[in-house]
Order: sequence, then structure tokens, then C-alpha cells
Amino acid sequence: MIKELIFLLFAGGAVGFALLAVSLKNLFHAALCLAATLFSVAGIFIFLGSEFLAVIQLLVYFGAIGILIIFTIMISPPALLKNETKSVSKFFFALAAAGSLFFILFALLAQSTLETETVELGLVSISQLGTLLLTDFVFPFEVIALVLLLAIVGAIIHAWGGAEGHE
Amino acid sequence: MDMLLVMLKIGMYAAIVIGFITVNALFLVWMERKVSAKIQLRHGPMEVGWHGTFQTFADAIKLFGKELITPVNIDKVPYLLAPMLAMFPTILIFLVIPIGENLHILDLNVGVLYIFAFSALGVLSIFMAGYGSNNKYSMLGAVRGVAQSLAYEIPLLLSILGVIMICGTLNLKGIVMAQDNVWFVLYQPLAFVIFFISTLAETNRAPFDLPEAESEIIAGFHTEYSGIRFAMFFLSEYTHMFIVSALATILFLGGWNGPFLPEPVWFLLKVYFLIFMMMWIRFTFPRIRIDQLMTLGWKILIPLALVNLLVTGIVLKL
Repeated sequence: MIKELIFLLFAGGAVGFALLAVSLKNLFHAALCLAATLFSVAGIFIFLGSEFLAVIQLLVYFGAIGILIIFTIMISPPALLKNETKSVSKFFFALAAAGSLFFILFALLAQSTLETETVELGLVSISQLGTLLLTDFVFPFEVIALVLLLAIVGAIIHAWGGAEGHE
Repeated sequence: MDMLLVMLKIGMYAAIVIGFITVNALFLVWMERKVSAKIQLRHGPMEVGWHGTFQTFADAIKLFGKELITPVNIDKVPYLLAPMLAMFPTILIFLVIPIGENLHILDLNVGVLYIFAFSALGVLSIFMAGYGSNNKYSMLGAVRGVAQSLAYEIPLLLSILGVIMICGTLNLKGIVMAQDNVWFVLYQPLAFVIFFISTLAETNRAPFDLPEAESEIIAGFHTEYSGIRFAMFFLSEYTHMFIVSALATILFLGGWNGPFLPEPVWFLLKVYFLIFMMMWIRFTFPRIRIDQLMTLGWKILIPLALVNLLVTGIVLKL
């Protein structure tokens, strides 16, 4: 009973704060709502029996990415943060873009023949996770590392003022 | 009936944690005033109780009784949420800290990560307070707080990785058990120094107290808070000091290990010794500038922590 209530709290929080994050006018409030969404998702992970994933979600998404977004808002010039004027055409274009993506995904998912079954999950220890990451899944793991490295190099080049370099 | 028992248990844990947090903060404020007085050749509080022991109780009652001043034109929700959000993670972190071999509330497999995950919430509360107050000094303090925590979170995490590589567990109890014979501070002296400097910055203690530098920006992010709201920021700051010292004790100083005395006594002795070091540093060194702080974090501590990690890895493999 209490378990269901707490689950509903987290699930409702995730959906509600996500809606608020995309609809609020004030950018700082929207960022706070995004952080609250990420927090609620971490709560759901605990219900799914993965405390490790929940803690990583908090550490990486809530702690690092949430703070980074707030940092970005903080150092942006105020002119960038002003709300643009609303226009009807923009609204319809946005609706069309979002709607088409939704229907494509929905059509694909509806046709999929992926079989679903309920599996009793044993608790996966961190050492098992680490072993798997460095044996069976080492290729995707390294690819992700490479992509992140490229992103960092790209960010540094941008910060230095383009490929021409500093000074 | 079962549910009632669970509720009772939760209530008891909450009472223990909140009680400990409050007493700890009251004691630390008294200790800080006494330590600063001794360093500056004064007596400090002497009037209320033996050597002023009850001075902080009187101060706390005064704070509770004060009027709550809410400025006009503030951003209501962040302003009012910030003090509560400052307290919330410190209470949650307390749940996993093992004071003795069997003296803890939660025994998580990912205890170390859990503590760091929730300490990230503290920055959010600082920024909400600064942004919501609609005051330029608060905003300046908040901006400094976020920049500082971004710079020091990385060396903090990198410095503990060496310890985790040696003992191979993220469980706080497991880490202490691994130090039965030798404390990790002997294997990882550099990591301990990096960890200690970074925690000073994380807890906004002098010489890194730029977010609340009183000689420059009044009181920084909590300028506009009064009464109980101010007390919550104060409480969370002193609790944070306890938490990082406890973490340093667990990771580097062998936790509750020690001869003769019972386990919790050893643990608390080590923790309060580290807190005493923090106070000693506060009243010895001047506050550093923001550019010096950034240089220290990004250009010195992070490379040093990476070198430490590399050397640890190589030595472990050999």
C-alpha cells in the first residue's frame, strides 16, 4: 500500500515535473523542474531494484547535468534568456514536427515483434557490472568513451574561438 | 500492525538523526568560537554555563524566536524551498554513515556514491537561495558557489578512486574493514591532501568561503534570510562539515578502528579532530581570490589527482 503510494509519487513527479519543465516561461524554473524530473526517475530506479543505477542517475544527471544547465543559464547574457514572441505558425510547425516523430515511433513500436516476458531480476553487483562492461560490452563502452572524448575536444576548440585557434 | 511498526521505526530513525544533527551543530558552533578565541588570544563565550557551553543553546532559541522577514519582489518558490533543500540531503546522507561496526541505519552497497550523489543537492539549494532572493550580493554568492563546486567536485571524486581501487568495494563498512591493519592515508597520502582541500571548498569553509565572503558580499547567498530559515542554512553547513570529516575518516583514517576505546568513541574522536583542523585552517589562512581558487582546482588538484590515480593503478597491477 505504502509502496504503491510512494511509487505513484515518484512516477507522477517524473511526468508532472517533465511537463512543467517544457511549459514554464521562466528558464531557471524550467531547469529546476528538469532536475526534479531526473530525481523522480532515480526514485523509480530504486523501485526497479537497481540502487546502483539510481545513485548514478542522481550523480550524473541530477548532480552534473542539472548543475551544468543551471551554470549555463547563469553565465548566459540576459538577452539570450528573453522569451521570444509567440507566433501561431511557429506553434503549428512545432506541433507538426513533434507529432510526426510521435507517429513514426508509434508505428514502429506497434509493428515490433519483440517478445516481452517478465523476468525475475537477481540483484546485479557492481563488480559483475564492471566485469561485463570490460569483457562482453567492451566495444560499445570504448565507442562511447571515444564519442565523449571527441565532444570534449570539440568543446575546447569552440571555447578557444573556432579552428583558427586562440590569439 | 506491521505498518505501524515500520512507521515507528522510521520515526525513531528520524528522531535520532535530527537530534544528532542539532546537537552536533550546537556543539560545533561553540567549538568554533572557542577555537577561534584561543587562536586570537581571547576567551570566547564564558557567561552561559561552564565556559559558555550553553551559549549556543541560547543563540538557537533567539534564532527560533526571530521574525521571518520575507523581502518583496523575490522569486517565492526557490526562495522558500532553498533552506529546506539545504537540510534534506544532509539528513539523507546521515543514514549511511557507519559510526561503529553495527552502528548504522542503512548498509548500502554503493554507500560512497550515495553520499556524493546527495551532496550535489547542496549546490542547487545555494543557487536557488541566491537566485530567489533578488539581491545582487546573494546572486554573486550563488554564482561563486556553483563555479566553486564545479571545480572541486572533480578532484574530490578522483581522489577517492585510489582508495576504492585498493579495497575494491563501494560499501562504507567494507572500506573500513579493509583498513584493519594499515590506514589508507599511508597508502594514499596525496589523495588524502587533495580530498581534504576539496572538502574545504565543497563545504564553503575558509579559505574557500567565497560564496558567503562577509567582507565582500555581506553574507553571500543567505543575505536575505533571517530567523529559522537562516538557521537551516547554518545547520546544514555544520552538518556538512561533520559529513565530510566522517567520510575522510572512513576512507583514509580507518573509520572506527583503534585500540582500547569503544568503536564509536574512536570514530567521533577522529571526526572531531578533522573538524578541529578545518577550524584551525579557517583562523590561520586569509581568504583566497576567485581566480586563485579556480587555478588551484583546475590546474593543480585535478592533474595531481589524475597522476595519483595512474600511479595507484600501475602499482596495484605490478
